[in-house]
Amino acid sequence: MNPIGEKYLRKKALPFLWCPGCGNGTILGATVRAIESLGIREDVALVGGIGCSGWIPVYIDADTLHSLHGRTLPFATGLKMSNPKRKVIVFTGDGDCLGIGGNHFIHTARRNLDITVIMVNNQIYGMTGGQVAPTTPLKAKTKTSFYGNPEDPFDACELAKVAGATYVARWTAAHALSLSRSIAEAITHEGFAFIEVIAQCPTQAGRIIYGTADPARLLDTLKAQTVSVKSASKLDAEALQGKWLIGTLHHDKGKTEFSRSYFGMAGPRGGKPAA
Amino acid sequence: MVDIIIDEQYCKGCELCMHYCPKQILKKSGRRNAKGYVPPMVADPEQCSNCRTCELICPELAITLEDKP
Amino acid sequence: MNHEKSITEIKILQGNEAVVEGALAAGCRYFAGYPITPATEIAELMSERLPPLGGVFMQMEDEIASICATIGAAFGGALACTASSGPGISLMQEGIGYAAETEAPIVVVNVMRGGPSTGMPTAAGQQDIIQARAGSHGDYEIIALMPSSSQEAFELTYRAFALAQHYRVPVYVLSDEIIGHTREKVRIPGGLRPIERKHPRERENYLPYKAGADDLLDGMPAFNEGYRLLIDGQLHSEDGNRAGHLPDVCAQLTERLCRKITGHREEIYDLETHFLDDAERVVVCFGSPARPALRAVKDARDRGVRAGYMKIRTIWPFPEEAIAALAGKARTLIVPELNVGRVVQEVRRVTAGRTEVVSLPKLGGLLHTPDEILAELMKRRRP
Repeated sequence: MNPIGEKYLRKKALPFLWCPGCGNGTILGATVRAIESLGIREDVALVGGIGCSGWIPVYIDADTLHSLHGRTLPFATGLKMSNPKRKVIVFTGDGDCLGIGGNHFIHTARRNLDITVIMVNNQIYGMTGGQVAPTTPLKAKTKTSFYGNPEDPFDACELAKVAGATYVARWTAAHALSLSRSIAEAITHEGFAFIEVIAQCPTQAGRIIYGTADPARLLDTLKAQTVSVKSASKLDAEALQGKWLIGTLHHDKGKTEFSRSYFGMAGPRGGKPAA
Repeated sequence: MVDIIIDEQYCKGCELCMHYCPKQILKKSGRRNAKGYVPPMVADPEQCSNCRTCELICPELAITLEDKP
Repeated sequence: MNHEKSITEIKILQGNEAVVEGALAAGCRYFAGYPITPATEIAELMSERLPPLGGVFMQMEDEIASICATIGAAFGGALACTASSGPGISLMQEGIGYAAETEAPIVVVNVMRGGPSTGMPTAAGQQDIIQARAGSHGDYEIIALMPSSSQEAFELTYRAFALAQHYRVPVYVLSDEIIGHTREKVRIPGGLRPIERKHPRERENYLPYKAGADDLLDGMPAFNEGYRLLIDGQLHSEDGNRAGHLPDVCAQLTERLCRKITGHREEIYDLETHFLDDAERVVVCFGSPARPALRAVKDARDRGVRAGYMKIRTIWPFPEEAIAALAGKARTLIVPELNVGRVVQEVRRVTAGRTEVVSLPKLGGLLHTPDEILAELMKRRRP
């Protein structure tokens, strides 16, 4: 265990329940490094959803709420609004966030509530054994798309942006350093910050969709489907077809954050929340 | 100069560190840990550029790069 | 309301407004809800009253979000509450189970309307009493209070917050459309103190789910008070870590979640009784039918029938001992309720055939008239 792990993990909760080579551990590492760099351990409130990625905050020794499937964002809303000073970080998966939790996702983004949402996208329902997700590629065969997925996947970052998120970024689990810096930036950003992490699920997505259970090969395959924001400006629409844009995709510092707007508008205390 | 310290008990042998090391200095150790996984070993420590890729990508937080005096 | 005042204030309030006054007096500072008939006035008034107190009102995207935000706020340190009716309460059930399992102190007001499904949005019902006890999956217990007037809507809502904090449990206020929309006099006593959340005695080796001999937890810290809490809907050990691999730990937790309520039921009970000393025929009632029931009992006594009255204000946990004691004295128990006859089954269970139990159901959104209950009281004992 490296020093950051020694410092931040709940020893009793170990070992991680994730399969060998799963991207969630890398994302956990990037998150605790971001928390360490900002020195905000006692100010964070972590919320996890249901699914493999929802376990990330369970292993982090800070205040953690392991919530219900799809409902991370309402729980996070209650935590944030009962004390707007706390830094709420949500860990959710593509199914948790975009499937069962899709309505909460667009509304929390619309409010521009100051929380950080890290959505781990492995393109499949991993914990239940490899069923089709709202992010599964078109035509991909999964346990519940036996003849191929007839549906187009969501672009989660575009959805976040149009819904009202004011910080939107996408990385893969292979971009551990950039991801950690981006998480720190998202926590510091005052508003709804959304980070999608394309992560390898060797056991389910790897075997079922991509034909490989090798974590590195799978992550390379995913990475090959990405284009950095910088290089994208030089490419035409055809070259960008089916690619994930990587980097900070949207950063709007001008829009008023929800709790500020709420407490600014409401009541004679002039914007001060209850002690 | 740095030391690459691998905490073998936490390793799940996923080999992401080996694959993403730009200098390809990590190799399979051939040993099995208590869980039955094969952790990596540092084959050529002199070549390490201290980029920390292995440390940052390790999903088990099992790798530490420590500056050598 | 002003807590400095020690003079009783008298207001004319509908039940829904009285719920808000009771909640605010108790110190409720977070409300998340979604509009639904006949509970909407609670959200409307909360949206006006909470912000000046530094509290938070949020209209969420649905009732699922409302219950989850309420639980989040409870762990965030606020006394928190939500309110809804029929379909909205059904949507909240998963969250209520989560609150029961994680021992989150929240108050859920259900202004009951006729069901099932969309049912009768503008008419009263008492068809959600069983749902209140067991609407979420798995074994757990909650507390449910049933007001039968605006005054009780105020008092029981205030008490609901106290019970929620003390037992760390979701507490329902089971109002109904009649109580919610009836406007009548409410006495608001001066000097009411807000409910205070107890902080843990232990800090150093604090275990968030270590219960005392009374099955209750050691207070409740909020997030970001330095406890590094782990709150999980999975069955867990005393430290909060999941215990799915430890059958004994899981079994003990499930048993404790039930026992911490049923084992304290005699402290929780709240009954109002009249004329029981000589009563042969007793009306056992709760919620809005308790109003015509009292009139009927008085009318029956005027006509020489030894009638008695028991109003249950705490329907869950069910006042088993008090009802069982009635069975030894009264010949007949009459149970008027705005459903097909649900609580009467509980009355039959606890009286175990020792007395005649008569079900007096009423459906269609209507309330029993005093005469309907009186007619039953005037009947001779059945063969």
